[in-house]
Amino acid sequence: MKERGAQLRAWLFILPALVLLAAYLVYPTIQTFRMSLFGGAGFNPTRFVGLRNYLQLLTHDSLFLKITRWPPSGALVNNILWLILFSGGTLVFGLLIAVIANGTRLERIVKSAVFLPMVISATAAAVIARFLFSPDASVGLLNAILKGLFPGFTPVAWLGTSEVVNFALIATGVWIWTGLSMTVLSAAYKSIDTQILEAARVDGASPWMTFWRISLPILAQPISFVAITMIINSLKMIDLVLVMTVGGPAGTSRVIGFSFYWEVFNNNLVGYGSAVAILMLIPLAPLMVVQVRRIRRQESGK
Amino acid sequence: MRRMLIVFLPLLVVGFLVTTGSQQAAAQSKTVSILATWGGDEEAGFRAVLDASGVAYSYEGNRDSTVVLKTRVAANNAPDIAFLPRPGEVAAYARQGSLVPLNQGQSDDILPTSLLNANYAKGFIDLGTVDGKFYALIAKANSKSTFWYKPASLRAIGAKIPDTWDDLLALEDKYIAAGKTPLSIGGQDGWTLTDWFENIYVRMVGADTYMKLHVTHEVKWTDPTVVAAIQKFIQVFTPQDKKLAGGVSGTLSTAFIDGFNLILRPNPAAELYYEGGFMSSFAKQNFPKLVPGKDYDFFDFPSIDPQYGKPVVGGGDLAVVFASSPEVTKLMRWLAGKQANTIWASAKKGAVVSPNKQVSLSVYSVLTAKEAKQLTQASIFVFDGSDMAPPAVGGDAEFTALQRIIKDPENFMDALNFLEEVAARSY
Repeated sequence: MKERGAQLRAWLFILPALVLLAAYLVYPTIQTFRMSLFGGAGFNPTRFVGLRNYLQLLTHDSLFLKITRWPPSGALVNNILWLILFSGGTLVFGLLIAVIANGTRLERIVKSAVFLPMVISATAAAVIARFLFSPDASVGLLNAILKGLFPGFTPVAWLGTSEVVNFALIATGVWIWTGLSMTVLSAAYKSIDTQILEAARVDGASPWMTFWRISLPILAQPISFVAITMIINSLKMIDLVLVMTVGGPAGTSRVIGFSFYWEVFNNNLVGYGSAVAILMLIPLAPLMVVQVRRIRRQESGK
Repeated sequence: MRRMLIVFLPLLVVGFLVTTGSQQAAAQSKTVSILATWGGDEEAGFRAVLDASGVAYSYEGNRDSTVVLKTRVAANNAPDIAFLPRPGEVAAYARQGSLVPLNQGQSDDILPTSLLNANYAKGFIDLGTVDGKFYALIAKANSKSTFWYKPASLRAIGAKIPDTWDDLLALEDKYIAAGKTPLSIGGQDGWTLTDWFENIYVRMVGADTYMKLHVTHEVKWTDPTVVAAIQKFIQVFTPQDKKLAGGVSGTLSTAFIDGFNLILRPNPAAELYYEGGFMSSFAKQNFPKLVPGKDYDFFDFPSIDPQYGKPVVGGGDLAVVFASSPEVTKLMRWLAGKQANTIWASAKKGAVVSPNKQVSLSVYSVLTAKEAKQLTQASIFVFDGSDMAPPAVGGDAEFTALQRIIKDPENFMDALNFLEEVAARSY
């Protein structure tokens, strides 16, 4: 009897959270899926099309996925590029800076500088990056520097060249997000017991060996945390693309998040955009599960 | 009980008097209800016009006026007069029988033929005509057929303002021969490219086919007329590395304001820029020292087929009538006249460019006067076509297709096929 009362009370405590989750997460997700099965314009589409939106996205939307011509292109392909280079870039640079700057005199200054772009909004950072990449030599810092170094250099419109634009965007993303990765990894690195490192050195391990065989395995947990966070970030990417290139030139820098936003809010094709959102959810969901499981394991471990 | 009667009886009497009184007043002069999108300064400018009309009115400004209007028409509760920003809706309401024709060639028309002809160019009368009857009066307008140049730069190479497409191409060559880059295009904003195309297309096919391509998609994007217009467009920017500021990639990463800045700044990257009349406000902001009309100015977008002359592509608001009454007639005649339009064009707040040709150009600043002159003389006036197409076409696929054509003009047919594929499923 008492047991039952306690259980009831527990449910009562969870109830507000459950209601909120249902209203703001579960219902919208189901609704998005339902809408993805409809065609036509507006938020109250009436024409049921089944899975045709998905079919069109994956086979007949050259801006979303085009595999008939090598190399494959489209938002989906660009997003894979983001996933690899952005996640990899933030991780590698974050780790490098965390380890190399550790204990040096410049540590604070370097870390502040690297963290700075995290503090300003992504939109502001994107506007700054737009200036940086401008082909106009009187504005574009990057072209000005390259021209200074190599006098014969012709300025490149980094954001106007299909072959380069994605890399320029990803570099901007890395510039912004390395701060977070560095902070997390630096904290973890500092928490490594110095006695272990000392012992390794006494046993004659080179600094490289110490890092590779001792520090890195200890950092596995925070590294995978950062990696998954960055992968999720790359899959959700939209702000930089929207501000810096509007998906251009000629749609070559679109990513999934941009396509979703553009189809729904620019093209008013709510059903079609919802299908993009659902496709975006497919790789995101398992990652979230992994992340949540890890947090739970960490909490119960301690 | 009696006390209650004493209290209530006078109230009842007063109430009765008030209701009958207001009914009598209503019979004498009906209040005209008006719906438009304008608020703030724009509303203030419009109210100045209404206040001077002597007609009792109630004005409702709503950003979502098109949606509001749709529901109110469906509920049989339409305003007497509404201002629509899209000509497509005028036609739709007219064909479903919701609108009162303003002119059908009869003596008791709301707007008599003589009044219309005295105040508006043929382009605007055609614009408001649906199936032979005139339904919509243009209230204010703006032009997107303004080609920006620098008079001093033109003089320096001894050139004249180009009148035809061939003149424009010759001018470009002259600039190249003088070691200069002729053209700047803000191609990152795809709508600047659609504006280019619209001006070219309407000059080659006229208003009818133009509307059929954009509004109803009776004409396909792979149609020979479209192909011919695209080929004209290609002439103006190829070879890209010679004619375009920043070449292909520079053009495709330049936003529309930056594109104009490129020709205005010291050490300009190019000499000519095309976009609408509204560009002058950006020039004023970014280059306050330059003198409008002297340091920068515009000419009419050159003609291509002499048969169509120099049509004006632009935007504006159209007044339509849902319920007629003597007051509505009086107000509409007022709105179509010289006096009302002069008040509106010279309002301290929310002044507009009036398409009414009786308005003296002296009420405007120098460049606005030029834009007004261009508008009031328009032989053909069409609305921005990409705005009238479904957004997936006119606000997305057309951008991408034209950007591809800038980059790879030889394979323009691929881009048009892509555009047509999107259009085919969007109407």
